[in-house]
Amino acid sequence: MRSISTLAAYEGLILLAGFFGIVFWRLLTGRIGLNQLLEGDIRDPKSAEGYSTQPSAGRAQSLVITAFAALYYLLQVIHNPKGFPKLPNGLIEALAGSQVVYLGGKAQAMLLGRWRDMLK
Amino acid sequence: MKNPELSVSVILTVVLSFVIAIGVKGDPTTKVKLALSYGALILLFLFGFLILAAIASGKIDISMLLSESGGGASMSRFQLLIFTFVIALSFFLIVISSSKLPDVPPDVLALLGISAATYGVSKGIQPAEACSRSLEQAAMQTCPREVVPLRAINRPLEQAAVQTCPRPRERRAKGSG
Repeated sequence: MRSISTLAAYEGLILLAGFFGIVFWRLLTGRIGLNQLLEGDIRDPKSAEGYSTQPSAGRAQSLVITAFAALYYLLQVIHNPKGFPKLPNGLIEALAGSQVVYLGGKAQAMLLGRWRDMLK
Repeated sequence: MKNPELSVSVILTVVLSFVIAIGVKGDPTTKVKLALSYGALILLFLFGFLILAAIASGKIDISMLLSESGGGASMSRFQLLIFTFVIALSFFLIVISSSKLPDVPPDVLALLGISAATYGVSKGIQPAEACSRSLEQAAMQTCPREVVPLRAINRPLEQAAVQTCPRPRERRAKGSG
């Protein structure tokens, strides 16, 4: 009879791989929608509802920094799987800064609208 | 019975634990410990597998997992999903290779904290027009894009449809050019 720890490892592997596989497959096939991932709402007085959508630079930079940080972390763990790796302070600061830029841009778009409309 | 799978899982776990308790050699305390340990492991796996199967078969709908209430995909949800998977996978790899539970450093908490805080703040500054997703889904089903018999719609759903019909993000984008 296999030991409990081996069975628990296989169990974790099956469940984690299953959840990851299903979510990843649905992302690939479009059943979990990623449309308008890089577009944000913006206050628009000309629109009937008061808001419209436009490509968002804040979202794009956030996506790039997130992908970089996630890949960096995963590679560190794969190279040395003895413990959680230490992340450089610069990367955490970059990630936090990226989120501040994204949220600041979103707040500005929601509350104030386009710069050109404000300066008119 | 609403969920027979759950009952079958519990019964299967009890039977397997009983078989283990009988089959394993040793003193009664060891037998009980092993039976309980394997039983908990089997029950956890069966419950996880049930959820997995329900997601795979569409019984649990995760199609709106990354959607904002306005209609498009949410960057903060996507980021939270990525970091959750990365940390879960890392945790799993570390536990397998070192055979013990690792200490969780502040970096991990910072990564997840930044993502979760971004999600929370992002929810706070989305358009005030955004309604709950269930109401919006109900509204999308009852919008005048398709004719639905009015008798099939109860009053709360009809009110939700009236409130949310003109507002989904795709239509706004098309409307504003």
